[in-house]
Amino acid sequence: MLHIELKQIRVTFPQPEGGELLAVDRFDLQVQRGEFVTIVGPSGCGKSTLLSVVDGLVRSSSGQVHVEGMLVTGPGPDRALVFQEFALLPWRTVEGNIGLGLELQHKLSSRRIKELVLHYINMVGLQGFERHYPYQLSGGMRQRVGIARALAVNPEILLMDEPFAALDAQTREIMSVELLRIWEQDKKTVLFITHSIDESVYLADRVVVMSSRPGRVKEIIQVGLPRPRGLAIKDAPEFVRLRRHIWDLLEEEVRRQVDGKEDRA
Amino acid sequence: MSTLRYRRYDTVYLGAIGIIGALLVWELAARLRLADPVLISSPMLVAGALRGWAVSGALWRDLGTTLYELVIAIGASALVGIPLGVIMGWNRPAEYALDPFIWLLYSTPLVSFWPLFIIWLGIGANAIIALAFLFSIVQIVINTMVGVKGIDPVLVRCARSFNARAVDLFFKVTLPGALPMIVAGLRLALGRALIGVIVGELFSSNAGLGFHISFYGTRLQFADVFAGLFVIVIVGVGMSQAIRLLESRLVRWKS
Ligand SMILES: Nc1ncnc2c1ncn2[C@@H]1O[C@H](COP(=O)(O)OP(=O)(O)OP(=O)(O)O)[C@@H](O)[C@H]1O
Ligand SMILES: [Mg+2]
Repeated sequence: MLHIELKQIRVTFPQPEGGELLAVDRFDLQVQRGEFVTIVGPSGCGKSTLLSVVDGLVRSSSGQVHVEGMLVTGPGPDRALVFQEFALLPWRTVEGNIGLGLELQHKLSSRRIKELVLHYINMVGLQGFERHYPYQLSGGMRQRVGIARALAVNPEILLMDEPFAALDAQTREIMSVELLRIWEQDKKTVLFITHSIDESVYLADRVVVMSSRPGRVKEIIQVGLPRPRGLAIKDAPEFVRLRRHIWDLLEEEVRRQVDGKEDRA
Repeated sequence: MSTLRYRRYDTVYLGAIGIIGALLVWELAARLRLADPVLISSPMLVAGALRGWAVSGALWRDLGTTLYELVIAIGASALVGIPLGVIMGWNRPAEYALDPFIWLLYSTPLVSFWPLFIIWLGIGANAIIALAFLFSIVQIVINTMVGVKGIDPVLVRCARSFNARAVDLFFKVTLPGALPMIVAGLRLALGRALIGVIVGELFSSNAGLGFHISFYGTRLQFADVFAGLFVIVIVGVGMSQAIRLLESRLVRWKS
């Protein structure tokens, strides 16, 4: 069943010196309910922008996003965004930050919120840090707070912007296994941005490879690997083949981007 | 490489030695008549004047008057200044519209308004409060505005992403984010308000620490003048220390 539909999305940003920057152009994507879609693309190609459009924080200049057939005009409780920059309130503790989304929704009692927060603190492995302020946490811990905060509102759609970028390689693998476990439990629809090709293949039903800016769909790759997936799958021939293929696509785009810059210089 | 490390204890200890040393020099200068004792008085005489002032009960009345004027002035400044600063921080047109007034208040010697205040409000507490209010409000407005503007936009985006209501956005993001700046502004404003109150009392009043100074100053009783100065210093230092304490409690979350 179709869950998210992006039609001919185009996003421009006004530039300080005047003129406009075309960040995303003619972007089409259809995401099925319960599907895990990862997005890879060169830095600055408009991935974060795209996710903000789906969340409703940024208006597209043209084109529409539909969620369950409804036009997206702003943020909604059915979607939660994990920010690339963590976006933790520095004056709130881990507990306070994870509970923020629930608090802002005004649906649950503060006691119920506390219970839920505790549950998600355990889920992301931050027991013992409930009372810590963000400045007392490592980058990876902050990121986990951001993930827990999004999970806590129990959205139907999880929008994750490089959620594992600040983690070391080991924790990263453990977290992605954990994420798949959570996802297989209640089959949220996930849009997941990453710079790790490995991760993009390991997690995804489909990988969207974006072109360099303005971001367009360069290719969508179906990942046919069986689930549930263990980490050993990364050695499977099919996995290696997909990784190689995505690598080639990205290399082409990054090269194009770099050459483009040299042309202008 | 070795650096001398001073502990907090040392700074207090050394500071006290400095003050005691200065008092000693002062006392000696008066006793040995290195300077005119009528003009410079002496620590002993000042202590005597202070005791007399306290025993007569006038000290408490003067202190009470000054504190009353100070609290009303700073309270009004905060009450008007914080909302104004928030509006200016949020809204560009409002900022530009109010900017001229802020600069007027900031760069004009406000004391020159004094004759007007006397005519409008009469001699006494009201005119003094008005002066102190004008002295202090600018600092609060500017700090609040800068605090509100300085909030990381990604935090606002985050709250909006969770569908935050405007009230929540204000009380859960804007205000806590700007609070350190606001409190710092309050501390600076308090210093300015104290100046306003003392200046007003010096000019025209019949009570307060400033009045005490001007009353004895005109009678050339400098021990009493120094006693007045001493109490004013205590008030100023005490208040700013109290706010510093508040600040350090409020911004525990800052690294
Ligand atoms: N609010 C904004 N105002 C102006 N320009 C913006 C804004 N947000 C993004 N851009 C521009 O849009 C382009 C795409 O940015 P975006 O953050 O979406 O890239 P990205 O693909 O997420 O990059 P990265 O992988 O480095 O996170 C960039 O050139 C950026 O400068
Ligand atoms: Mg990004």
